[in-house]
Amino acid sequence: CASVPPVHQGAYTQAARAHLYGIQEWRLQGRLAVVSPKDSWSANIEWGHLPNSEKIRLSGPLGQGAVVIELAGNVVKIDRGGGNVQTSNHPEQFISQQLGLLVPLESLRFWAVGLPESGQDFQETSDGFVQGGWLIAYKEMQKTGVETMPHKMSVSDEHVKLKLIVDRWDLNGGKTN
Amino acid sequence: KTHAKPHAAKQGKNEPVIQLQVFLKVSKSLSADFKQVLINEVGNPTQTSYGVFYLQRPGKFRWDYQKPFKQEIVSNTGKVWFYDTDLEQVTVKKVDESLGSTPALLLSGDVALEDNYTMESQGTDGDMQWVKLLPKSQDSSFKYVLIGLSKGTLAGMELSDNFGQLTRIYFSNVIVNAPLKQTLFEFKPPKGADVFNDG
Repeated sequence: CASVPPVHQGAYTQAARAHLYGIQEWRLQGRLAVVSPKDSWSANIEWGHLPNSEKIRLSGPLGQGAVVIELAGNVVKIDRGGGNVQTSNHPEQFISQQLGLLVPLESLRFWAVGLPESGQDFQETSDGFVQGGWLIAYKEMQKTGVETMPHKMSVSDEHVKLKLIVDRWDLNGGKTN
Repeated sequence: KTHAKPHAAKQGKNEPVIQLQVFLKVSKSLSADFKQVLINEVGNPTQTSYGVFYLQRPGKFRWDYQKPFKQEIVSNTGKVWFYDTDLEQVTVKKVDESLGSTPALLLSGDVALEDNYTMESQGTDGDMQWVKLLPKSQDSSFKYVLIGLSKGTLAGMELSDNFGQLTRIYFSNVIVNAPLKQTLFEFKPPKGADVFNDG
């Protein structure tokens, strides 16, 4: 796919994107980096969102060390393939402990599509918003059909910084494999 | 390191394994272009990327993705630098921690194949001879690695992860034993990138 021409975007407003709360299914493919005092890592990421579940595949370059996270309600399953599966009903803590992914996935699924988590307070900034003690900044956006979706974003607090590059979006008719 | 002498292998049947061992012994350096195709469990190609690969035995390699995005993986002195241009992040890890048994590492001579893999000849198709490497250690991040040789030189690789996803690599413009600039194997972190050294 040709490299993504960044779209010039004015100041961030949630109102301009509120219709995206209605998207039932989406898929993204890209790269993720997490930086924290304890550990830093980066990986390829594929994320399939369905109305009430998330399926996230992380893998290193050349596809090695693949891990699949499935989150539904408050149950999370971490599958490393070959029968190595662990589940927990304390998802946030389990994911952060097992994978060092220190950002709450339940919120990240809104932030990734450029929206504050619904039902929670937030304050808008020029290129994103602050919510739940996290600063979300959309550095570059990209045209995806009729929508404008995040291409390069960061999520940070004073200890942790997560960077996400989305190389490809599939909205609505997004098939999950 | 003396390579275990293959037991009285019938010449034909074990030809690919012998070819691979000869290739690894003969080729001190290598450069090649590569095309990489990720294929998911149901057989659909999900992502194709292109790049270049350099190798200097023992222990040095560079694996650069150029399209659709830029990533550099450089290894020497037992460490691996991984740099993603868009993410502006460099992670440095010890060789065995970061990439375990990735193909670049296999070929760079840091890992004695016989110690870490059982090798099975997969026979010949067309002018390609295939060898299957099965990791001896359980916690390898791969189920198997296939190495394909054409006319005795590296031509292809296939890695199957524990989910059955395949990473297929096709090498082209393969040049063996040409002198390579050593700066290829030195990684200079770009200005402004977050560098994390737990190597």
